[in-house]
Amino acid sequence: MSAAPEAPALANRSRLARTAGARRTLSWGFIGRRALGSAVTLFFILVVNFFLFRVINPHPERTLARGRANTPEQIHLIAERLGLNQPLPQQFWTYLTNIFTGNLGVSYEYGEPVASMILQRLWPSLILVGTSTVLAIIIGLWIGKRAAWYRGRAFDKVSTTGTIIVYAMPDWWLGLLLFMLLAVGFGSFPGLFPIGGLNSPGMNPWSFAGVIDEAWHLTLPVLTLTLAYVAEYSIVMRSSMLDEMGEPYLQTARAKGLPDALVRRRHAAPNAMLPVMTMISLDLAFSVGGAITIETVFSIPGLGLLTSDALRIPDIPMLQGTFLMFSTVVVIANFLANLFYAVRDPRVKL
Amino acid sequence: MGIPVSSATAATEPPIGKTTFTVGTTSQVDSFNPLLGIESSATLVYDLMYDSLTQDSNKDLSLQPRLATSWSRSADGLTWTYHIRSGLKWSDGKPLTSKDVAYTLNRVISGGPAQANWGNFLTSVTKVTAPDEKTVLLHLDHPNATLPAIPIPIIPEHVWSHISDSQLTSFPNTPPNVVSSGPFRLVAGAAGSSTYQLEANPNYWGGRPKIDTLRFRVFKALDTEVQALVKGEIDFADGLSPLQVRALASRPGITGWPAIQSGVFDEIAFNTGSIDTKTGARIGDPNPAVLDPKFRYALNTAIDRAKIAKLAFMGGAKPATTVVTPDFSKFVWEPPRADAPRYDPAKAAELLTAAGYKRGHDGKLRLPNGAPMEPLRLIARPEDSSSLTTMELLKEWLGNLGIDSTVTSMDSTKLQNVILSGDYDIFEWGWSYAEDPDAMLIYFTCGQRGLLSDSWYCNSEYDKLYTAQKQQLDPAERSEQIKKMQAILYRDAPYLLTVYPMSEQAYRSDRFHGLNPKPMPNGSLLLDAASYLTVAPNVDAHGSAIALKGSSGSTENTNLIAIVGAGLAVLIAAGWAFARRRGKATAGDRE
Repeated sequence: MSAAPEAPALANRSRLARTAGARRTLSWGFIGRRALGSAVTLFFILVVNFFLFRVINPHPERTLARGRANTPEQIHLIAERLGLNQPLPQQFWTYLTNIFTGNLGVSYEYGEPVASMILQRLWPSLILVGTSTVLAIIIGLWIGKRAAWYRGRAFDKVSTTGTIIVYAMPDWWLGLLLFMLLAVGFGSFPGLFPIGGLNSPGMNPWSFAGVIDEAWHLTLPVLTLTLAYVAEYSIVMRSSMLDEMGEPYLQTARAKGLPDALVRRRHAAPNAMLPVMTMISLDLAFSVGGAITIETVFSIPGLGLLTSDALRIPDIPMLQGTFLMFSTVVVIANFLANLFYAVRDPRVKL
Repeated sequence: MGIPVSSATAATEPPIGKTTFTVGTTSQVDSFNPLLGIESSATLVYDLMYDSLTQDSNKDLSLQPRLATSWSRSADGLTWTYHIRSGLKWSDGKPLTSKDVAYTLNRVISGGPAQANWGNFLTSVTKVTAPDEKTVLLHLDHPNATLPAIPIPIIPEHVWSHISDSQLTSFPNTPPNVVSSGPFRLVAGAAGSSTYQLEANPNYWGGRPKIDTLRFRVFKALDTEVQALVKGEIDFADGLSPLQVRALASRPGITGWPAIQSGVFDEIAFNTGSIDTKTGARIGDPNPAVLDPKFRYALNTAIDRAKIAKLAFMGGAKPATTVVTPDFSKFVWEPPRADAPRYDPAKAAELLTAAGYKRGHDGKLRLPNGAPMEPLRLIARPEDSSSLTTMELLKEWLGNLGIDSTVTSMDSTKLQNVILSGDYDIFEWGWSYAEDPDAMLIYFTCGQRGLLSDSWYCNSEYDKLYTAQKQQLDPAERSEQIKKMQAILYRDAPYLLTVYPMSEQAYRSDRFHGLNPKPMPNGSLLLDAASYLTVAPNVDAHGSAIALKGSSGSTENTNLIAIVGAGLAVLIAAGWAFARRRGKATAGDRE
């Protein structure tokens, strides 16, 4: 099925051929094998999910009752409502059958279906972390590429030092710093941005003004996370690029008379992208998990906060739901990254 | 009919425009459904949305009428009669009668989530009836000493009777489907949301609130909340730290309010004898010393409570003696002078020697049987920095007495497991309870072991007094019994009380007034619906609310939003131009 030659001796040729537009096609067998692997991983996660949170605290009803409901009958009633008085195998069976019918259960803390709560909280996290990750990727790759190309020159020195300094700061601290400078203001300099939250109270989030208002609220947190993430990409891209720069095919490209910028953009960069791709796919997947510290500093009601709050009781159905979602997205992203590799890298056996 | 009434209102109240009061808090509402939610912020919202039969006075916490105008009981204490306010309406226009009250209370006593949430206020009540529209009768099988206080939110029968217990989880009770009767009506919000909003009920029987819109903003970081108050995005901030409130109070226009809290204390707790509640066999591995009441009591004077308040709570706490907090003044027991919990390590050493604990050659304290004492395991909770500091201080004080100890830290969910397994000696934690000391005293009864008792305390004399006070109808007699119970707890020392932590609040006094403490004069602000009724905007010489001027930042925001919009447009345009440049590249360029 494969269109590209696989012999190692022809590897360089295949690279050039690829940039000219040749594509390797995937076989169904390959996709099937990878999908099966992902499915097994997911089922394993499903089982672990059930037992993991019951180990934290087998009696969440006591946390819920503390200081409020105080007679033994009341505590018993809470356990009954949560289904905690059923034998463990029965709870496990309910959990499994529910999941395959798309029911993630009812949150202990909020008394509402977990799935709808996760959906409500998903998009603030996605917008916040997703936007920052995409921005960090674009900026980071650009910086990394240039820094490697002009290795040892001023751009390289400034960008590498700068990104590493920001990378070394804890992101909540960087967030607080930006928050004090730009949201609170200092001296006679006014605070430009709103202090935390996702919307101005009373604003309809679905109106045009509401969307702008939300973008306004998210500017500082997105800026913080982008700065925090940039170094990761620029550094990996820089070293990956340096590896490629020693390769003879670049010589060939130059020999053809291509301008330097095009050699970098068309030949070196795409090949340097391969190791970075795994990172990107996983990071984008992790972005659904939100960023607990930044959500805390800026009081953004995202999934990160939802999950960390749920640990307190622990709100077992909520934790099961969020962890299942996080792991599903990561497994799927991994699966897609595998396919991407298969298409782009001739060394992968199809 | 309606026209003269409204013009009269317009004449008496100055036209101040719409006033919004924004509250910053650190605790979110877990559910707007009063049969499900348990967080303190949820209880406050229920109080704003719904009326209850009775309420505590803001002045001195004495029982006041609310939906009920008066009440009486039969001589045997087995029947209570409540007379209900007449002419009241729900927000959908349907009349609010004694039938709604009977429905709500019957739902609570019939079991399910309603009972889990509110059942403790109706102990011994078997049936509630409404013989006419203005009367509610409670039938009991034993007298109940905590009646007539019933702070349960009364919900409309014509809405809730259609929602069975199993349907509660799909009934979040959020807008637009909320039918309520209280001073405020919920207009925006969802379980766990970071903002929610209520509007004044213009027809409230207790008078129209002086603020039109009441907003809540949930903050996850205290620094953010403080800055929001300084910047004027919120008018009131709750749950702050003592240092923050001290810093805020020095700013013009802001009033800091460190308050004594009702029913809140911190304690050093012991394992007084963990057992398997089914078999009665000992479980866990407590140090023999902490099982001995004499040993525990001896440590009472080894603790410097003033130092804990100063170092662990940064001054935001008062030294504590008993689990009944000072605001429950009728029930508070004071130890005799000689036994007062003063810091006196010499006395502690004396008491230990008297109890048989003597120092060995190495200077270390030995058990009464002469065996060396294993180091005591002190557990602190990382959620409160005060917890760790308290335990570090205790370690030092124990060391002075020749007792070795180790401090570990574990989060409260893990600590609960450890407590249930009995594998601990001492930990630091706190409680918060409401309405009546009974809510706290129950945790020291034998029946609570393996449930919410965290000291495994069990004393038959105490249990007898607990049952007796619960049914005691003579208030003076009941308060004597409750005092005796505290004396027993003091002597047996399952807990050594450390401090009563204060609540730290601050508000924009340049914009609002009428925030009254409950109870007077040092209590907390804005804990219940009644205290929100007195909050009013400051008015300038022209009669317009200063709060509105203060929030003029919104126009400035609009300008900034325009700038950001323009910036976004430029970015998009640049991106488009870049994409075009790449698209235009010729085939010759490519290779």
